[in-house]
Amino acid sequence: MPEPLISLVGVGKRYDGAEVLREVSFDVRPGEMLALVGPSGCGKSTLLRIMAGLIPASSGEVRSNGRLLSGLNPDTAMVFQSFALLPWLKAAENVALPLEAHGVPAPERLRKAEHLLDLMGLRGHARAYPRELSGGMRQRVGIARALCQEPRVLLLDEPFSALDALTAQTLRDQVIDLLQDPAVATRTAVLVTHSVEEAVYMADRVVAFQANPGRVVEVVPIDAPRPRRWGSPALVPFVDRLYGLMT
Amino acid sequence: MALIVLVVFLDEPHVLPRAGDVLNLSPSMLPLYAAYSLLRMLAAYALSLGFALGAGYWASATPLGRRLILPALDVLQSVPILGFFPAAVFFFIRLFHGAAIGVEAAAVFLIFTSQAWNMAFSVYESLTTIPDDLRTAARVSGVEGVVLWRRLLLPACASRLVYNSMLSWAGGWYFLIASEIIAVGKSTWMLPGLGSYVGRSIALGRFGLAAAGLLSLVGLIAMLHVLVWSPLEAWSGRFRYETSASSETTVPFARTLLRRAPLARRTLTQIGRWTGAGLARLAAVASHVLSGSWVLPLGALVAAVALSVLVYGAVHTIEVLIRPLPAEAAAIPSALFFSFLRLLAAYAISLAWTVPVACWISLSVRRAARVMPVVQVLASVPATAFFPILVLAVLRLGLDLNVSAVALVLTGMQWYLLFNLVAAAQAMPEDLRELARATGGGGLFYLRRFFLPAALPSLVTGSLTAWGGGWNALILAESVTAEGRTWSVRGIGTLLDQATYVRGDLQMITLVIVCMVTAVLLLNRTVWRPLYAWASVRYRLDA
Amino acid sequence: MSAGLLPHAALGRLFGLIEVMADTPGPDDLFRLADRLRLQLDDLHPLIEAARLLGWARVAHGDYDLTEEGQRVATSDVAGRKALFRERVRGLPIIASILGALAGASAVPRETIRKKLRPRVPPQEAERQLDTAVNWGRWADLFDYDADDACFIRVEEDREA
Repeated sequence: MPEPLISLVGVGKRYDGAEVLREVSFDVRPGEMLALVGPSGCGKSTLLRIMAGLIPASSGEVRSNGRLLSGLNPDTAMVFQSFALLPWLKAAENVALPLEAHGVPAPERLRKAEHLLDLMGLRGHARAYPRELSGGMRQRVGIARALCQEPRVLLLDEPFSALDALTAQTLRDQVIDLLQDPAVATRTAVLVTHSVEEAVYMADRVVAFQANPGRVVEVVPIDAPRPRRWGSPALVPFVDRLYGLMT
Repeated sequence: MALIVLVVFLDEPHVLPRAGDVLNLSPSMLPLYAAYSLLRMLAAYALSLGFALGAGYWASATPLGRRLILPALDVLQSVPILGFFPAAVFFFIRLFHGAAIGVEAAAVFLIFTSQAWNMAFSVYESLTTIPDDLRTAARVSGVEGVVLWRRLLLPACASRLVYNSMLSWAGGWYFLIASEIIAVGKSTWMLPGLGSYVGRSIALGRFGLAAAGLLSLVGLIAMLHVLVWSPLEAWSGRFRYETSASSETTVPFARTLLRRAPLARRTLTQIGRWTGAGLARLAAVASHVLSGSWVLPLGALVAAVALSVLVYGAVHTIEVLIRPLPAEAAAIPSALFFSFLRLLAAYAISLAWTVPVACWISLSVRRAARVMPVVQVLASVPATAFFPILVLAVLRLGLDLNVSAVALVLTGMQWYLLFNLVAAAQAMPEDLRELARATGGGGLFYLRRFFLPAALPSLVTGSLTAWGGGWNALILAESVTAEGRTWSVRGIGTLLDQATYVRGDLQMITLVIVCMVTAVLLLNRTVWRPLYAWASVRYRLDA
Repeated sequence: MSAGLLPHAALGRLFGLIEVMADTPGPDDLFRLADRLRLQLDDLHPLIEAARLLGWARVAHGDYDLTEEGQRVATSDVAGRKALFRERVRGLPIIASILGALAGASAVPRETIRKKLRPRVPPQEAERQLDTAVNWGRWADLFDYDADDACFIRVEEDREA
């Protein structure tokens, strides 16, 4: 069994004495898509941010790439539900932001950004401002920006919740394909979602949470073959099982 | 205040230093005087911008900063600035050991105090309203330091800051001209500039020259508006958080011009980039300094020093105050009362015309777009420049000086009201407007049922600022020198004026200013704040 | 839909629609499609119009049917789809008029194209038409648009397909 890319042991989080997460332990294995599902308030978004190194855990250990995490996790990048694009930067400039943060000069970083946008099918939109783009396109730009950091693990925080069903479906498939694309270095992802169907559709393993306090109930492997079909009968038993675990 | 009192106290001789030669009134000097005035404005603005970014950032970034800065700004905004002008002159002249630059410093300081607090507030507001997701996304992308300022923080401030800067410059001109006029009229220190030019010309009865001076001033302001503010305002539009596609494509005129001059355009873009990068670099260094772990001990040290100086100054202030009160002090309450009446009159007149006009403007979006630029230029032309003429006219017509006093106070109040009202009306949701149109029922009905409720919270905010502006104007307006003698009406401005220029009575100056500040703060706390709280709850548009 | 006007269809959704249509081959009811996609008529209508305009679907009497080219689109990768889209789109009136103007100048102001639309299209709709044209033109790599200067930009054809 290869080294996990991220490992959580007994991770807990308290805010002013209120316990938000308790004793969370699981691994993120290389090459897998891991989904975190649970009712609202179960702390899954908080946990994602702990993995990203944005929030410190109150207890327990978080290791990334074998090392104890302190501060921002250099091996992860994040995709947001609200897309989080800077409205005054063009698409390519938004994507190039992580490179700019590391001092890469403009021509080079914009070239890389355009290459990533091409991968997302948005080559012609490199000079568009976020307000000129539809929701689906904005999220593609957000994904491109995350991939620009060449993270080992891509963290997705309810990335499709703000999109309509049709766009979300297209994007789900695109993300799955991207993680297998030879042009992309990233192979592993953690997805936070409130939709059990989405988790079962996309993930190799699903971590089921309960709330009050947020804790892991079970980690369910989804061994349905790919490519999967949305709503197909093969996925139903998993959905069923997860509902049972969380309620 | 305490600091200034302290310094002045240590320099007891009540004689203002002499300086400079007689102002040269030849029209060929006008460009030079325009340049002087402009330079003072630029210096003050640069200082204000620096302060605004620093203080605004600190208030938004650390709890200590917020607890210190916000209340301080609150009080500072309420203090009438012109009252401090003579004391400020004392202070800076002593600081520079009698050199003429002391007076310049005082004028620049005056303008600075009229701009900085406002701009600091707007920076604080802009920084604290950055959506959390954007901040997080920047953090995760590894963005910090210079890049953070350049790509997130400064752009987030840009829109409000440009708007605020325009307002600040309008206010700044007002005070600059006022200070130049005071300089030339009441004492012998010199601030060569357009204001002093106009003031002196009128005093000498050379109306042709005065007209030339006024025209130069208006021309300068209009030019700035076209070349600087209009393009800046249009450019800053891209820094808003709008999520809808830009269906309105109002490309600013300056931009279309530039498209045909690629060299000029490239130069300007490059200048813009350097300014942005430079500003970001400075801001990054400053914010790094302010968030460093050694800030706390350093801050404590600075606070200790400042505190001891303040305490020392406060002790002396109190000592000055508890001396047996001069006879003139008895006049303070009634003086305050009369001044208050004038303010009330001016306020009533302002309301009487700004409310209907704002209502009329708000009825049509196109009308607003056409009228507002004109109004903006009008508002930035400082009424203080026309004041000497106004006084002369009033005297010649044999009218009471109260007329000119109220008129000047009016000019210090009305624009704040108008702009706030128009802004509120434009923010009215479209379906409310449609409802109004559909309901019919004439102008008065619309005013009562739609416009006023929508505009009420802004009306209150505007009134608060307007009254602040009004107190300032009083100091200039209640006592004037013309045709060889001094004319005054009973009021707080006159008291201050006499105490400063006639008798050099430090105790009186302190007393008057303290009373005035107290009156302003009292009014704010007991009238405007509660009114705003009530209005913003009762008349919220997004309930 | 008036002749020559673009339906305001988001491209991501359009291709999603084609894929779903391809899942159930042969003529079928439109309302079933709407159901499957969980879309209301308002959202579905522009997509159907676009599919029809581009020759990828036939629509009649509440039924739809994918054309041969529509089938090809459903099974192509992104590059293939862009090529097919490009060929269809460059002939549409507004797009053609933009391309024509760009043949003579490397940048064409939005105003110029808007004026061509104005007589027969109300102002608000004209703006939407232009926005959709920008979006389609960009996706097809036919031209670009600079929002700051409000003008269409010529795109060199030598970009690797």
